[in-house]
Amino acid sequence: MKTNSPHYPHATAFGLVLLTASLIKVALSGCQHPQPTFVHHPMRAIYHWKTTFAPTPGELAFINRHHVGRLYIHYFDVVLRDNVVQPEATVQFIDTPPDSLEVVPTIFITPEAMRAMQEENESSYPCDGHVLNSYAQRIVKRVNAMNKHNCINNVGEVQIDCDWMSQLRSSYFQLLAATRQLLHEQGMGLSVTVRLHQLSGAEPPADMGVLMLYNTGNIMNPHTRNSILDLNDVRPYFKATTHYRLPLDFAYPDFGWQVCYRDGKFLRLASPGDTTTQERGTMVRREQADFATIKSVKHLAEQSLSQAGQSACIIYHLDEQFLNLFTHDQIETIYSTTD
Amino acid sequence: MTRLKRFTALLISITLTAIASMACGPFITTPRDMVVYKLCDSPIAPQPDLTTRLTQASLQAWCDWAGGGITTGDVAQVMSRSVPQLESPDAQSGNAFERWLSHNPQAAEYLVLARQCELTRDRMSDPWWYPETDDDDLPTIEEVERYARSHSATEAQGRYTLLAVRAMVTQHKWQQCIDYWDSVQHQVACQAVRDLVEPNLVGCRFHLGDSAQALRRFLELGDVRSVQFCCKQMGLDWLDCARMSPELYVFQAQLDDYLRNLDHQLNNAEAYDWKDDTEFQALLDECRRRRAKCLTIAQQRPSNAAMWLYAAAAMSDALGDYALATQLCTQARHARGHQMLDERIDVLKFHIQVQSMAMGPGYDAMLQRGMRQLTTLTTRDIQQFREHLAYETAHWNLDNKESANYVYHNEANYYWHNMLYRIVAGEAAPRLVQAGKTTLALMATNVAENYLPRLMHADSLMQCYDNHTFTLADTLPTQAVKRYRQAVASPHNGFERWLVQLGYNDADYWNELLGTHCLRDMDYADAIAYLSQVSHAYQQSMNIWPYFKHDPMRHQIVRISDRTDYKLHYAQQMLAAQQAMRQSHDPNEQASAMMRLAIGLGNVADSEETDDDYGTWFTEGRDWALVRYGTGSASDFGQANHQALMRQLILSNSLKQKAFRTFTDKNLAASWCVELCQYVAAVTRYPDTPTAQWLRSHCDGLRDYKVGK
Repeated sequence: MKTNSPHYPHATAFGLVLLTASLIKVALSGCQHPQPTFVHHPMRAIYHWKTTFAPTPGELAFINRHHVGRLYIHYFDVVLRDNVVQPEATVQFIDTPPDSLEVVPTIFITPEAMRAMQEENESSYPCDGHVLNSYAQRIVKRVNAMNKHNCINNVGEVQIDCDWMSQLRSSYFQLLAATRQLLHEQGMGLSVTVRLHQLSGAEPPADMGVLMLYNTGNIMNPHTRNSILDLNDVRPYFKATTHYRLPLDFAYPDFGWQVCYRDGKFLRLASPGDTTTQERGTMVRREQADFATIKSVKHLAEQSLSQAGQSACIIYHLDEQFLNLFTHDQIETIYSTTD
Repeated sequence: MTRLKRFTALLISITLTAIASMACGPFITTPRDMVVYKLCDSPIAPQPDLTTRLTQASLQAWCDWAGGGITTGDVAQVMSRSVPQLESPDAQSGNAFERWLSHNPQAAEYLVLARQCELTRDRMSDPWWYPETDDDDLPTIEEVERYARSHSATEAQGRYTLLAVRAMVTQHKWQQCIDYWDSVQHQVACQAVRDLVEPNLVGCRFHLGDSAQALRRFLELGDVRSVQFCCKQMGLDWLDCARMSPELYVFQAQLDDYLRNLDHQLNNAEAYDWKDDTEFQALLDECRRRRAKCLTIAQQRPSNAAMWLYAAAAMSDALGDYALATQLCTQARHARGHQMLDERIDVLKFHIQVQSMAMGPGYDAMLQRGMRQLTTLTTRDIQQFREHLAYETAHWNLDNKESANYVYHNEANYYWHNMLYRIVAGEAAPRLVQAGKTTLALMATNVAENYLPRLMHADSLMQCYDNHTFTLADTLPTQAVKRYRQAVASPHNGFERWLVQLGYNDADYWNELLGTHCLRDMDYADAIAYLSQVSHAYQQSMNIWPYFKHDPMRHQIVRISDRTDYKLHYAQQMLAAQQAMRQSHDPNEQASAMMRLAIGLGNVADSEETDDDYGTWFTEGRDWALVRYGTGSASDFGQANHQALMRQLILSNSLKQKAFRTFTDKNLAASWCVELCQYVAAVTRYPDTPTAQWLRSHCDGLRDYKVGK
């Protein structure tokens, strides 16, 4: 349907105002000071993705034993609830992370929330990205508050995790750019998660990326062999030599789960020990990240993308029940870097 | 140089962006934006909202404490002040309560903390809040609690206990809150404080798992927000809750919200971009379920049974069950609590009949009844509109006709006029047009849209051309508008007489509009007849007046010095050209007349049709203001009008070709080429003429076009 758009004499005057504002903006953009350089040292790392931070003695021992230097802690999700973009599932710090660890606050943004931010931005007036800037400010402000309140001092980087689609790219990148700007002003850097399918697209405006080498298969499909990690699913993304300009670390899984289907359709996920999955008519596939596959994928990824000695390995995630499924040497192999 | 070029390109692109960005405003309302389903603005059942009651009780308790001469108004005024103002009450203040506070530091200190507590709670209700995000000096909620509990339960008449309770609730200390209150309540004598504490305690019990009991108590208390919260948390549809306490105002408000959204969603289905039929069907299924629930509640015969029946009738109307909807309207008229709703029920019934009744004399009678009732109600409650208008005037520039029109058509609280607009202009008129009753359709739309502005002496609103009457008149065939004008002059029956009396029938307006119709039809004789009756003052008041800029009989841009009778002069010259073309025996005179006619047509014709994702677009002729009242409005202008103007372009082109074939005077033909800026044609087709000679001697580019080349 078309809108009624008669010719308005005041449009020209208004256009001139916009023009002047745009010119000032263009002129000022050349006067910005160079940002401080963010340095991301490669080191062994692990994700913490629970809503309570209270690592068990076994998990702390794992960190010490394998000289883990960086901990990506999931701080909160940004979701759309009641038509409001807001944080949810904020981690509760029962314990304080050891001072020896560098902490990377990680924020997961759901695609719905990102879409809502995009719509809000597009419908705002003037549509100059101030909505996305304000969300970036809220995220950074909240992260800082959580650091301060929980006495977490060793923070040099913040990570944003979002499974964005091409329709959201422009807004997502604007949000990242604004977030990075704010972090740089505080001497911090921004990293983002990168999914395999995003490798062929434009690099997000961030200082670092973490290539997620897990959840590589289609979990909805009952015929998928292993949705957590399968070399056959990964290989097509590395067929050609990949030129991805964002420096990448690699994240490998240690976890497992049960995937339940009914009538050929995805039903739910269950933890490995959940016995309620054995119902009549339910097909269950038990999946676990296995060392051999991780090793193959690691080899493939590092061959294709790694700059020797520059990329670090991250394990997803810090949970004793999964970590115990791997031997000390296997973990060491996963963490070992290609020189 | 390259930089300059880039800068110029940048400038142009920014300018174009800025101008393009203006294309979508202002927002223009349509009849479909008006919502029919609307309950009363005030509570139908007698129970006021808990917040209102508690606020009043609290203010009264302060008055009782402070003693004589202090009104609840004084207290309310002080309560609304900021923390710094509360910290230093003025002993010389005109407000008696503030003077009392200046002599009672204990009470003033309490008020400061209470205000800080509420500000802290507000801040914490932001979903992005986290401790340490605050950059002001408000106390934390823990500090508020500590400080409140450090006072005795009898101090400030027990009000510190209320603060402690609120601070604990904010921290989700449900059990601690109940225990605390149990330990101090016997010391709190002030009933207002006890009443204010109670909903907090009920909330604690809800969170501790006693949800059903808590909900029941909230319903008894009439705590609107808490009931909504509990329903949501418990996964209950609010209509299931309503069965427990159907007279609660919260349900009236929710019902109102639901009905308004339902009406809007169904009437603007395309705007909601329904993903598929399933989603739309789900909306209708939900409507059916809710109708059944409303009927069940009505059967309980609450004091507001009429409201539930009205809702069921509205839902039936939305579902297209017109017979049931009519029947439920009748039942609602006889049910308990109908008095406050009677007029709304009548409007709903009118809306149902307008959509469902067969066309015929009965339809006209029904339309007359409904319109008479709505105009009577509009007049009766005009003071209400005046107040809203005064308020809106503070925010809108009412000199701007578009803004004024928006206010007149979008004053949500001014229901009666909105219903005239929606039901008559939006629903009855299209049916009347379809049935061939274009005169009645125009008359009824005119009244529906202009009754209120005319009552408010705002006749000039019609001239902004963003109204339904204009759109209808502008898109109907000229003959239909002529018939309308004849009927206005001599109405056929009482209904028409009444409509003529109430509608906007300014002779200038209608003559100008009809004259323009005739210009589009190339009926220049009739155009002259109508346009010659349009006053100069009216012409100057038209929004298109500034666009009467060029001589429309010239292809080249020639500015005119006098805009008066612009359309009339155009019609006269076009008629003269038509007549010369037909009557002259001199081929050169005939051909020149053809050229004048062709140029006149070409200057107003639509051209360059483009198909894109958004539909078909036209480019208006340079002198578009002769035949239309705005640019770019493809849908409102009407396809028939576009086609007519497109045909004028074809005719214009063929007339030019024919004229060039007709000229026997080659120099004259060459001079017409010059007028059309066809310089190459002039020197190549008519090389031996003085005009061609002159062109070659004055234009470097044409110097090479020598004779015989």
